[in-house]
Amino acid sequence: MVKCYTLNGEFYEQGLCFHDFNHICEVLKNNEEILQHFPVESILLLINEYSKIISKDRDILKEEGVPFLCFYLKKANLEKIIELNLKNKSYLDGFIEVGDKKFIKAQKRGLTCHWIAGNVGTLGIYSILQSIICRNSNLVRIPENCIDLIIRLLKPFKDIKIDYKEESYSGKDILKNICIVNFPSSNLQLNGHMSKLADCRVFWGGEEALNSIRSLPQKTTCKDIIFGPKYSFAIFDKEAIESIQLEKYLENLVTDIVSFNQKACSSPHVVFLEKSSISLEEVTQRFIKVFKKLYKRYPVKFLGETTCADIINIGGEYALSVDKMLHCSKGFEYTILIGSEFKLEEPIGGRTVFLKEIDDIFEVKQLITPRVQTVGIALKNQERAINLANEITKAGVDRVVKVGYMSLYDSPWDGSLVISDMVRWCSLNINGMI
Amino acid sequence: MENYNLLEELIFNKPFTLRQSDKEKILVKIFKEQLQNNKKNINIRSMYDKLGFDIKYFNSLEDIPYIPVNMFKKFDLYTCNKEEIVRVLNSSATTIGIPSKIYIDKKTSIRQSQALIATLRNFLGNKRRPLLVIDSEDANKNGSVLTARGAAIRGISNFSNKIVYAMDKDGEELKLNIERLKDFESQYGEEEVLVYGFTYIIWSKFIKTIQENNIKLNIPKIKIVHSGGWKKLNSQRVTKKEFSTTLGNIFKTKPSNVLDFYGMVEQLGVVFIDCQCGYKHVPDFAEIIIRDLTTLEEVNIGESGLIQVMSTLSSSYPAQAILTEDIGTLVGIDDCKCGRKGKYFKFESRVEKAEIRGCGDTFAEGEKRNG
Repeated sequence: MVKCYTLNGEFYEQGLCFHDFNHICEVLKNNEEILQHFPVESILLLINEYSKIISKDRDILKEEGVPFLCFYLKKANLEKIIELNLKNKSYLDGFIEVGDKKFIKAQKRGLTCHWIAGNVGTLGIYSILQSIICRNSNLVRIPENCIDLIIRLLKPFKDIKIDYKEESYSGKDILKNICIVNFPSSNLQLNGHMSKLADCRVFWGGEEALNSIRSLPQKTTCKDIIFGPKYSFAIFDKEAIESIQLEKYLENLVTDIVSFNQKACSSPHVVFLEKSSISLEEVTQRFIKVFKKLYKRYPVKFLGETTCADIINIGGEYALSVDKMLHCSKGFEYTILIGSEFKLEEPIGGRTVFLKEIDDIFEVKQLITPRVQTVGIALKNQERAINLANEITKAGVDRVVKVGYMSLYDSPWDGSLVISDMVRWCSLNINGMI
Repeated sequence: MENYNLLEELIFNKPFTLRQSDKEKILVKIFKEQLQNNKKNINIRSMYDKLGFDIKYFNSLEDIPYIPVNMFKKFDLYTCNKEEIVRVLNSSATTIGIPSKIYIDKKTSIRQSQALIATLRNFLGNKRRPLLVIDSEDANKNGSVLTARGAAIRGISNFSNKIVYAMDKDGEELKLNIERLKDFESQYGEEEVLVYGFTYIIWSKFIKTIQENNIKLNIPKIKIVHSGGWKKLNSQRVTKKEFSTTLGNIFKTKPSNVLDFYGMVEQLGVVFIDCQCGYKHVPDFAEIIIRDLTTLEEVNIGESGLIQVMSTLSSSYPAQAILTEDIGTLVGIDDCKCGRKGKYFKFESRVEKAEIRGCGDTFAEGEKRNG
């Protein structure tokens, strides 16, 4: 049974029930054409208006990740991202000559089917709106725990209207191209049906789910955009540790750690500290001080039983091991684990971080696999930062950012320019014909 | 010198008589000495040092550093001389496939038996009765390593004058011996009898075979005590009520004669049996602290959290504060209608081990790295 929460621009809080996607697909197909007449500028204006509305909604702003979402969806920011992805946003509106009577256009792919992960509540909005910019219609499977937030986030679109070049455009028409559904992830038949309908499959999730989606039947022309399981960590170099900005860097690192309960693929789990004149113990004490300072701003939320048990167990292990060190709060405000093993530890989450001292930050190269997504850095020297980024991205890392920016969604993401992947690049070559 | 008399008094007195405030004072006194002894173990000493725990100055049970139950799988946590260990208890290894190792010296073993008998007596009375064990005799083999099932059978058998094992081991499988079961019924069906079994084995082997073979039993004056294996049953969506009703119907007795007991191999001797009001009580020689899943502080009455079990019975391993992976609800203190004093609670479930982790789930590359 498919439960459908938005269809044809309307919201259904209890969910409409369908046995399959036939009706949903028919509605989306009918509405897809509306979007084709929207200039990209009008879409960006509608999204910009939307971002203004949610930025004024105090309740929704309290939801994790929403303040940054507002910033991300501002027209000026989206224009930068489109430029990075497509070079020229006009490619979305018509054939643009690229020289010698050769023209190219970024056409819609058609129906984009999204499988959204449940670890970051706002993830669905990023995925959907990038696809809307490409004028795709969207069938989106949202995990049960995120449906309420996604529906609350989408609702403002219904009443937005903007004028552009003497034409009126409505946010409801955008909504008509978004269908939010939920069904059991184990239902192979529904997953298979959804997969077969897709012109573009966008998948966010863990390894097990990814493998099961990958094996589903699909159109031969379908484009896959995969955001699979990834791992992230942070590096502090000697100069940064010895600088007066250390506390600021540590504060930024803490914001990366506390974001999304440390469940995002960009959340740091290990921090490598280059040996410096400041001892590991002193850095740790300053780290704890920062955690304590930021308690009030980032109160602990319920982590889930598994994460609680994992933190308790790893804490117990480090407390009982004679060659390891543990620093932790009474509750789950922070858990700092210090060991000498040079490795990327399995993620625990819930503000649990492994500190490791290394002789040289470039040593981390040995640990990198394509599974590493983001490396947060605190370095004082740009040249060294570029050299490090060059080495570690060569080994598999997708993204190197200063600490504090690790969990902020960006383009490219996971090595992919998402908007560019969500369009079909079409060409017209009429050199010498006319 | 241990607070020996104090502890013996707790074990030999009726086990649910102390009011909470009095009990806490006594337990703090006993634990202070025991925790000092724990420091003989290098790992525990390391833990107390890292957490800045000063035995001299603590005065609240909540402040004692707890040992997560899984640590008994990873460390050799004995606090006596190695040569004093008379038995190693092994858990059922359900969670990560590695069994816990609980080191028992003679003193601990005796206290655990005495404590278990004192608690069971409070619920079952003094009378010895025929005991039907829904397991095979192999579960209670003699030897230096004993499983949780074996230990429980030994405890219950103190209340028996005759033991009959209802099952036989067939390779790795347990098979119900129907003939032996019917013999037990015809011989003792009119008497007061006891039945003990592992919850999961009763449900998956015993009840299944009884139903498949359409066997009817008639032993109305029965007390059925069962423990362990709820994790597997919860995954099959079997409720406690359904379990008790089904089992009661099989023996033609009231579901209230089916008594769930909560215990663990890491805290042998400390068992929590349902009272007539359906709640589990803490004996005077032990304590529970139910810790909130967000703050890890003790919950208020009516709230749920992780169950920490504290026991005074051990001199050979750190039983004073073990944090389980079980969820319970603190129902009340000192005021259960059954008359037992101290805290009383409900067992709710095992910690849910499957959770959404999304794209940040693991670093290991599938089986390749794990393997």
